Amino acid sequence: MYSDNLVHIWVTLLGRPAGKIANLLVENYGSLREAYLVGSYSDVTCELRNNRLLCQRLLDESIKDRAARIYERVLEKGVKITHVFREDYPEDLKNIFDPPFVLYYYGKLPDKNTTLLSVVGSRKCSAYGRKVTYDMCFNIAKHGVGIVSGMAKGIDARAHAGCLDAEGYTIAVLGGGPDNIYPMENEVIYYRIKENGLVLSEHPPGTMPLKHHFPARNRIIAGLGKGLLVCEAGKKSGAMITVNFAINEGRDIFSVPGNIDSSYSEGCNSLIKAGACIATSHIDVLEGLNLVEGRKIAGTVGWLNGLDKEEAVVADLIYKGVKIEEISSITGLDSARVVAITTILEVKGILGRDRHGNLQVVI
Amino acid sequence: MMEGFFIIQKGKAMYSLKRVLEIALSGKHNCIFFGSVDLMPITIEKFFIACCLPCKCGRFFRGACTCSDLDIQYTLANIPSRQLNLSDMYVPINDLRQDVDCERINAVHRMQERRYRNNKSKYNGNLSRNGFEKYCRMDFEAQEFLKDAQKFFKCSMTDMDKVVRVARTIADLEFRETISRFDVAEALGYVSCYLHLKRRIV
Repeated sequence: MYSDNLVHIWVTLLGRPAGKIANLLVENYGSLREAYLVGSYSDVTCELRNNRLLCQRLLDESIKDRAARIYERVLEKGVKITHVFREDYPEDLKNIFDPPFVLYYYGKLPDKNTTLLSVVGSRKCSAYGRKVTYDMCFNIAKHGVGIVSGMAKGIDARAHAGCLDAEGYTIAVLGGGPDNIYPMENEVIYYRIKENGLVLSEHPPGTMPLKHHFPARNRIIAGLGKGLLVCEAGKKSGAMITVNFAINEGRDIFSVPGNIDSSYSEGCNSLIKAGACIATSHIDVLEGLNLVEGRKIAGTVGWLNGLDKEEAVVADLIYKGVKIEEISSITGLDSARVVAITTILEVKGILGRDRHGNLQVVI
Repeated sequence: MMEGFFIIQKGKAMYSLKRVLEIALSGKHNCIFFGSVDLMPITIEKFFIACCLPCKCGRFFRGACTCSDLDIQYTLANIPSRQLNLSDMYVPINDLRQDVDCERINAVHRMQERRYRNNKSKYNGNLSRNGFEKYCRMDFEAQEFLKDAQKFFKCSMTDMDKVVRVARTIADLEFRETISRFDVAEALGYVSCYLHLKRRIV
């Protein structure tokens, strides 16, 4: 059994970085196909004999068997394949340091004309972060920009959801094989992306999402986009790894500011301090990517208008950062009344709960 | 009949514990407190008041919780499901003491005994869904709010039953026959933290 794809899968198993090995083989044999057909030690060229490990692997039949098994699984699952030497391989990804040699994917690859934006953030996030991510990605996708993210819990999932709701193009880069849904909570998002966007992975189908795959996956997320939007990141969040990759590749960094005392936004605020672009609305991001000219931003003035007197007072106090325990002593309202009013505000969609179950203003 | 004092809490917490206890005792609602200390459940005349940790580190409702999502799910799964499902109120608290106004509670008890003399259940806490139409009359506003809330929180009918039962007791405490919108909202406030724990609506 021989095919172009099989040979390229075989090259990824020879060692890392696969691109370098592929170049070496092409230099010595003229094409990868010739290298694949090498059967005995006498056929190995002088230069490769010096590289002992590679020479061993080149002649190893078990590696060829493994490649054949992966290829069978690819055909069985209906996964599509592209590699670095093809034209449909994303142009921006080709130019990063150590690009993935083979990509396994479902869906359709991006056109050359589409602009892509990577969105990252932490899994643990506040209600504010979720809302901001959803709104920004919704509006950015409306302008025809594709969203790249990792389909993890928290910010990533909201970014995909926002983009899908705006009927935009979105790419999910997974830590396991493309057929491996992780986390299972995002199953619905996974199938929606499979239909309308692209589910991408550098690992063959059937690979489990292991711990060490995720930092490596971050370099693909950073490499695919023209810019990187950091929605909400803690100090030691995995999002900061992606930011480092993006800075090394020379991408623009956009950061959403947060409260200075919020542990969720520490990373974002430190990025702004270090010189990242401040993104307070989707227009800032689009301007940074040279897609629109400057426009006025609509303020959130008048959000208290539709409320009763008591409700407005409580909502305003919570917005100012007063703790809920102190509201009854400040306003003189009964604590039972405060509980009632906060619940009414929650149902109206003005208050939300963060990961710790504390109430916050969402608008 | 209630005598003496017991219980927990003073000062700072979102929910005034005095209020919660009044409601729990006068309606005989089963009740779970999420505190920072694991206490044994107290069972009084067939209804119980239990106290347990919301998560491994016990700081879930106060911020600075370091548990992962899975940890929280496991801790919640470790609470006996019978106690968890039978409770009407779920309230995060700090662990201190609190006095309760016994006379008022006894008055509410008498009121309920009079009302439920022809019924199988004797208190609001064990009122079944069949009795809701007869005993829990609501405003138009309250009904509308309950519908909105059910849509928003995406909760089950069992959860809504808890809300109605507690709202009945809250109205009883002010000696009113019809349930108003604020009663329902307050009752929902005592369940919403559990709904959040369970399903992570944000």
